[in-house]
Amino acid sequence: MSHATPDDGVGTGRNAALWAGVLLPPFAWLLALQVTYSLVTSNCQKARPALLHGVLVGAVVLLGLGAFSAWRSWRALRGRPGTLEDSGVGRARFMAAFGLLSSALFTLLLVATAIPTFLLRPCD
Amino acid sequence: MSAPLPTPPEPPPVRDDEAWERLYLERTWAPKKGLIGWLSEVHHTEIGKRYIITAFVFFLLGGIEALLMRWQLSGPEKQVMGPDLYNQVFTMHGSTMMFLFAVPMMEGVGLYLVPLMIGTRNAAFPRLNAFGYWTYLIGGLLLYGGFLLNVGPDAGWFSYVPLAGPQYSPGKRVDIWAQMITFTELAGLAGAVNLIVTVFKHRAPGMSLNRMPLFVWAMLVKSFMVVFAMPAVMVASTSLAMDRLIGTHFFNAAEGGDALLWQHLFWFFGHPEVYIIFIPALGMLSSILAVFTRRQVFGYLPVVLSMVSIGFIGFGLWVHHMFATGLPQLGQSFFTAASLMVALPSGVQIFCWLATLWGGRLWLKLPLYWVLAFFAVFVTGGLTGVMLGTYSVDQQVHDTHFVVAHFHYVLIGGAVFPLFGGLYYWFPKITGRMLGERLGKWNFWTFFLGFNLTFFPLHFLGMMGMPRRVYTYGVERGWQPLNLLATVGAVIMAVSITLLLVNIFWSLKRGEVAGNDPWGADTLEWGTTSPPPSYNFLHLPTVRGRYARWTAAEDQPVVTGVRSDRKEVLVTRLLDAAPDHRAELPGPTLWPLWVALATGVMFIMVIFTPWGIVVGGVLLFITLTGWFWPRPPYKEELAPEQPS
Repeated sequence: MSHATPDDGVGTGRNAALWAGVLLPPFAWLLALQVTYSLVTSNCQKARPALLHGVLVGAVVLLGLGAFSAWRSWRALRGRPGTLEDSGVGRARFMAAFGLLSSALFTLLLVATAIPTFLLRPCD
Repeated sequence: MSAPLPTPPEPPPVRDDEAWERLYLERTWAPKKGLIGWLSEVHHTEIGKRYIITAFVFFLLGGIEALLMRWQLSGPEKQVMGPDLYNQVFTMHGSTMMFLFAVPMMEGVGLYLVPLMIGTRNAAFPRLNAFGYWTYLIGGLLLYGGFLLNVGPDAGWFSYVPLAGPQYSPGKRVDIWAQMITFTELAGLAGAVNLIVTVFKHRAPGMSLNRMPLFVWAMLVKSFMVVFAMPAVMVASTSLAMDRLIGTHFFNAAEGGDALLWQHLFWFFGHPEVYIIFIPALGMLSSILAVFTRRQVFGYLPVVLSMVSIGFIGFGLWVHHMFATGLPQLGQSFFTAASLMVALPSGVQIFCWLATLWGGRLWLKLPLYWVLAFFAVFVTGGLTGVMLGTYSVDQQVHDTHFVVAHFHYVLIGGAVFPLFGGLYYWFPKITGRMLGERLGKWNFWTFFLGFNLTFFPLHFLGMMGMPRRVYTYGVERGWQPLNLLATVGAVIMAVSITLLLVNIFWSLKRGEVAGNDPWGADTLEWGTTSPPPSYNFLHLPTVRGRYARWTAAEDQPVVTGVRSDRKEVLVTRLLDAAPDHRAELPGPTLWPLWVALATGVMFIMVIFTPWGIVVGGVLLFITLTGWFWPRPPYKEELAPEQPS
């Protein structure tokens, strides 16, 4: 029977980086949304703009970590044979590409979430 | 150990004979006979079918309620029913369609198809599957039992407090609603956990994550959403029940509670629920498109990315249901932004499907009709969704028929149209017979016409100021012509559904025999007989591409080494589906039914007395003990020194 061997030489460490690329960008945005919204609605007097911006910067860092992981994984797989449809290396390349595209999408979402904090005051 | 040891069947003689293999598999996997056998069934195809049929019955009941409402609203000051019954009917309609039809239907389709699509013999937790179904059924019967006894819920399908609280809704109506929620969400969670583990650990060798069928991806995303969304509404419904039954004050602002907390908890579940219904439909759509355009879906990666992203973004939209509650504008703006941005992944998918259609050779059969109609209907609903996601527009049309029009375009367009496409597509696999083409076309065109006649006028009625949930209106409002048009549309939809029922029953008896694969399809379920045997596949398959059957080699290997004389399946690894170990699945049993009944006793009894917790707890302890009682080992598993 022909099948992929476990992880197909991609490695457990590399898989962790791949998962970071896949999962960190959406989690970063969700975290930013939940925290900023909670700050604004629970007590808008205490939700100073600087605090909201701090939360958003934290989310940018988290999202950046995910994007960096995905980019490094993508680069590490360069030159190795396998398309996005193959198992093993192909699957790893698929996850890296997923992470990169996901980072781009959730960066847009984070920007869209951040814009109102520059235009409105917390108690508006 | 005093319990008698089961005697395993004699192993088959070593010979390469498919008949022997089939015989052993049938002996191992065949369901028990008679009523006890029916009640103790745990196989995913049978449980999936029960979900589908039960949900369809609830769909018909919800449809009858919709017809009653449209009859009442067809003219000013009509007296088909009074305000109290009307309140019950619209609450029953919404609750039925959301909790008893849409989610369980998608769950049922997933439970039926996913194990077949990934090439295994059953779901990972067969007994949990059965438990989920019985729990769902009891919840549905509770709701309709209450309705028939004139204690049907009447506070709307989202039961806002304080209206649904003890002060404004005395009696047991809301309690019945709250407990129905707990039942159905418990069932939803059971199904979701089952699907996640099945997809992660039971895929055919070679079916790495990047080769999973898009329908399987859709069910995976949907299941994760269920796991994160449903607990919120279970907490909410339980808290509401406690406010009503034992005097807690979770939602009572006068005693330090918070009425808006209900809305937060409900919509934290409620908005993802829309996607829980919609995402599986996207998976069906992708399956149908690939087969009926005779090509791979354009942009597998962006389509998967879109589904997963929608799964996440779906949890960041709930406040747009609360724009009229006076929350701080900055907080609302975050959700306006997210509501507009969710159009991005949705749009990416739409363009990928359009590109698939553009580059394919269209085979214009009935499943594709429904998919093409989806584009028109769903995009219309999506556009009004973008309008409603904007705070300023939402303020103008909040709680009007514009909203009713929007969510019917999204839910029926986004879920029911693909679902009916899926029905025409997978009916041959499930029953072994094709659905009639001619009646099917009548069914499609009448539904499409009736749907648009019903719901398009509601946009205008909403903009004219007609609110939701009014049982009648004055003649001076000028709403009659459009309401009458909508009612005519509803009748045409009813005719359409009748045609579908006739088609189903006629085809079951006299439909053309389908064969294994009438469509020349790509996914693994089409590689077995129609309907599938109790063991799904004679030989467990392997996979070497995204479109398993289209990319299979002439001599594609099959899995060997899995026993046919036990309910064994192959467990594979998460990422690349490499073989890991064999696992034996449990067989038929009555215990899931007993546990579901014990759960039912507890949930229903607590509506009347807190002692329900004690009685139900004892019953649950007994039945769960029976369920988890260890299986005696097979003789050959005993160490030599142990007595046998």
